[in-house]
Amino acid sequence: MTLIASIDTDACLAHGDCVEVAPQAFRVDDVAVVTGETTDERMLAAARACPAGAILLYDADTGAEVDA
Amino acid sequence: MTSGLLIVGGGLAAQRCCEVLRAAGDDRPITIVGAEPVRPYDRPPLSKTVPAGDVCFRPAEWYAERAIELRLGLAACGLEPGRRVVALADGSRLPYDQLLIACGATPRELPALGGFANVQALRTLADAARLASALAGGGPLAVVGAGLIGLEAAATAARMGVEVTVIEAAPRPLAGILGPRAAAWLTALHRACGVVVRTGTTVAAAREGRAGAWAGRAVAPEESGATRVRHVEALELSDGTRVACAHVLVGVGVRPATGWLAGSGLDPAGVLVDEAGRTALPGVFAAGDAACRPDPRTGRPVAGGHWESASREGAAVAAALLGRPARPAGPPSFWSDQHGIRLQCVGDPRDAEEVLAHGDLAGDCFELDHLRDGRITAVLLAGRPPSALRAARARLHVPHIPVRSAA
Repeated sequence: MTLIASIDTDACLAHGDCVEVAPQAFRVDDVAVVTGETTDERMLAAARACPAGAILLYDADTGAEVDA
Repeated sequence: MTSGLLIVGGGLAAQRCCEVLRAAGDDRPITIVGAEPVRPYDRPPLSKTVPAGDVCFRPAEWYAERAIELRLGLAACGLEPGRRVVALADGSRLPYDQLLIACGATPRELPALGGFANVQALRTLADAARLASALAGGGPLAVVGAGLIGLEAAATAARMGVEVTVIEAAPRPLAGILGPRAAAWLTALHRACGVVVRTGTTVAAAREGRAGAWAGRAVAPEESGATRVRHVEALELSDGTRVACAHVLVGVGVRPATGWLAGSGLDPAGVLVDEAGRTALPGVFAAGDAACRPDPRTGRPVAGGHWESASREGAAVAAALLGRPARPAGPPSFWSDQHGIRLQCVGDPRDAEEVLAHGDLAGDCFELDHLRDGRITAVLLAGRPPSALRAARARLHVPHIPVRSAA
C-alpha cells in the first residue's frame, strides 16, 4: 500500500510534530502542508503524532481513507 | 525609516506571529527580544522527555534569511506607549511601530519552599536541563502540584526508574480540568506505573537537610544565591505525613510575566486583549500566556491557556497586522502524553452535568463525552487514534461566539 496525506487545515494548529517525524513529507508555514512522500510507516507515525489529528491518510491505489 | 514590529518574548506566540507574517510575504522589520539566551523553542517536550533534545522551532539561518533580528538573553523592563519605545534591561531603548507582548508567564512559587537549592519549577530549557541532571542522580523526586506539567514530569521520572511522589492540594489530579471519573482513571494509571499520588494534602513545611549534603549534585552552590546552600530533604504535609526527597519540582501554575508593564497603562497582572489580540494601546498587541481574555463562562478576564491558545493568538495577531480576519478560533483543546498514553481533550469539560463513557477505562482506551444542557461540550480521549479525535470534534456543540472583524 502507498499512503498519501492531506492536511485538514481547519484542524491544523501548526504543532509541527509531522515535520519532526517525516521532514521529507511535511512543512509547516501558516499551517502544515504536504510537500512530498515518505514510507507508509512514517506517514502513519506522523498522523499518530499530530496532537490535532489533522493529518488524513488515503490509500493511493483505492483512494480509501486509512485510519492511523 | 520604519521601526517595524517589536516582539517582547521569544516563545510560541512570537514564533507563530513571525511564521504567519513571513508566509504571507509581509517583509516589515521584526525584532524579537527574548529574556532567555536561546532561540524560540517548543515547551511541551520539556516535561515529556528527558533530556528534551533540540526543541528550537527553527535554525538561526531561518531568522537571518527572513530579516528577523533576535536579541536574546535580554529582558524588557518598561514600556513608554506615548513614545512607542520599549526599555530593555541593558539600558537600551527600542522603538516600535507595532508591539507584540508575548513574554509568557512565570511559575508560581510556594513560600514554604523558597530559597532551597534542590527545589525548582519547569518552564524553561534551563529548568529542563536542571531537572534532567537531578533525575540522572536518582531520586526520590517530589512533585508538588498534579497539573499537566507535574504529571508529565512525574511520568517521565518514573520511566527513568526514579521514585516519584506527586502531592496535590485538590482532591484529585487535574482538578481544574477533569471530572472525578477521568481523574480517578488518571490516578490509577500513575499508580500502576509506580507513581505515588497524594491528593487532598498540601506542603506544610520543608525539612532542611544537613548543609552540603547534596552539594555538587544537580545544583551548583552559586545558583542558590546564598553563602550557605540550603537543601530540602523531606516535605512535611498537612496530613501529618512526610515525603522524603532528593529533589522537588513545583508545578502549581503560572502568572503572566508582565510586571515590566507597570506604569504603561496596561495591567501588569496580565494584558487584556480582544479576539485579534489588540490591547487598549494603539499598535500594541498581546498573545499567549501574557494575555488575558474574558472567560466564556464567567466573563471575567483570565490569563493564558494551553499551547493551542498561544499558537492561535500569535497567528491571530499576525492576521490583524495583515488586515485579514483571524482563522475561526475552534474549540479549546489540549493534549498530554503520560506513561505512553496520549490524552486529548476538545471543548471545555468544566461544569459538565453528565459524562458518558465509551470504550474501556481499564484498558486505557476510551472517550468521555461531557454533556451540559443535553449537549456535548467536551470530549476527553485516551489512547484513541486521530480519526477518533476528528469525530469527537465533529460531535462537539460549540457555543456561538461572535467573531469581530480583525480589519
